[in-house]
Amino acid sequence: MSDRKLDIWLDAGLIDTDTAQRIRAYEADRSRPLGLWSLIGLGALAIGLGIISLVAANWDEIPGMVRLSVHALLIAGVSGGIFLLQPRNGFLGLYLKDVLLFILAVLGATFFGHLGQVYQTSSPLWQPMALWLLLFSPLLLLTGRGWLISLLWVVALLGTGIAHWEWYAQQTGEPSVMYIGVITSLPVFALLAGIFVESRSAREAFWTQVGQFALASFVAGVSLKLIADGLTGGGPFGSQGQAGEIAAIHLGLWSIAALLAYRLIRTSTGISIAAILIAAAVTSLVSSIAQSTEPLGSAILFIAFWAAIGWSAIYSEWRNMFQVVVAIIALRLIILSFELASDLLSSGLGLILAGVITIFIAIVAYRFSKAFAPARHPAAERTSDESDP
Amino acid sequence: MSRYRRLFLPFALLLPLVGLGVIWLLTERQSHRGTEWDVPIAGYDPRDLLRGHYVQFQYNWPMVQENEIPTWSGYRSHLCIIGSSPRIERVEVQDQGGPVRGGSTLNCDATARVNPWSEEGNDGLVRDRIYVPQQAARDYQAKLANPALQGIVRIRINTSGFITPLSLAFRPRPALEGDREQLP
Repeated sequence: MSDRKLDIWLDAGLIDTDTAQRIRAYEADRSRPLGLWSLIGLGALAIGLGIISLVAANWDEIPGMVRLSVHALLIAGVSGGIFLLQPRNGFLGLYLKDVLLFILAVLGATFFGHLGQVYQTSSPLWQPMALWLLLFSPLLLLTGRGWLISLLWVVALLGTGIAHWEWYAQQTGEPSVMYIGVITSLPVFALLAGIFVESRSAREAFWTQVGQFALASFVAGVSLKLIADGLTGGGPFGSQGQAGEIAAIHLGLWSIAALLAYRLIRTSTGISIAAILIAAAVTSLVSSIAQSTEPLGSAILFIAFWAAIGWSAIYSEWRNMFQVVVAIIALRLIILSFELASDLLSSGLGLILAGVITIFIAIVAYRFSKAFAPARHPAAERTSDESDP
Repeated sequence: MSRYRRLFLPFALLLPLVGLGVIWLLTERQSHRGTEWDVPIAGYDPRDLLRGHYVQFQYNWPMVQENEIPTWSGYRSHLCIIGSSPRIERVEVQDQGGPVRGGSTLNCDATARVNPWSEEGNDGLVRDRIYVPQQAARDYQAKLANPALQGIVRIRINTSGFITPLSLAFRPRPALEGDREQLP
């Protein structure tokens, strides 16, 4: 809170001197010594980096068994810390425990690499990743509270899927249509898991985040696929003939997921998620069947998908999401204007035209976003802020 | 739910600890399996023998032409090593399941396969690297470049046929013998 703003409001007669005084007193009470904390944080970071450098410099001198034992002891120590913090609920229980969980998970993941280094073994990346998921998922999903853990878990799950896909494609040459259809639907399965457990868990906010991260990666993946379709015709997965079949499998899987999402959350959110899933499946199928590299067609499919997301955002009153949607559609239109004007660009006229269209789109997007953005709900936003630590 | 969590937390915490421990134990046991062999080597690239703290080298498998060595895991062929550990008598290229090229079926004492996940990727049977202490690196580099010395790498071939270099040694090169000669 800046004093300058308070002075302006005082001068404008919006608040009286008393209120200003009380706001200042309240803010002074709540203020934390941010500068001090960031200095302490920087100091801790420097010490940590120093220790890592010292260990790294003498890495060869330390026998492998000693290194692995220290690594294992660290893991055991952090596990003990989490166990002791579990009953607490304040700052320590909520924040520190999540940080310790994250450190434990990272220590566990690096243990696989460390074993490989000491014993000079090597294995396909997906194997240690899948083992890690198997060993750490129960702990992370059972005790995680904040975005650090939910993001880590979703990233690990999708990363394992991608690593396995890469390995499997290398082993078989051309993986089956069903395999690609299922492995690329991993974000949808994670989304369903988030939705399913959300209503049954005491840590609702954590599972909401798992669902949100899964949905975000799903939307990003579908968008990239729609863009790639426009560039190569055949699409990013497999050969030309496969693209349609994969999209058909997606349509089936994602429709079932949409139905489940709708049945599990009987609110506007459920309908919005179902709408995004169906829109993704349909636009992706059309794009795969059409296999066209026409700029206009591929832009229309992309914008159709994002328009569906925009509709869902309005329907469920996701205000921030709606603004993102408007920005992305505007960006895609701007890119389209350049694509269409590519033969005129050399004449300069194309550039001027593209500039005019860009400004026009920016103004329309701004007005549209102002006029149709879902209204802010101060109460609702506050509770959602408080519920995710 | 919170009662569940209190009950399951110790198990959830023990699972990674026990799991990682078991994996460590299995890796430890696996590392002692297989057979050990001595393979003559040559510097892989005289301009870049050392990157970091390892030595890159090229295997000179006795009695095999370099262009015959499988360089892709999909070829389904492997090196058949004949001899008594650690001394290699000869090495043949063998197709998986099929007989040795131009000869009758052989009883291999060990078979080496391409490990596509090794640091050298598909070239794992042609060249490899061995990690050495920082201080010793310069000494190894000089010896590898010295034509009077023959580098010998002791390797372990595990039960899956994958190679792990264990140690690097040097011995004087017999005066008239070339790179690709059998070990004395």
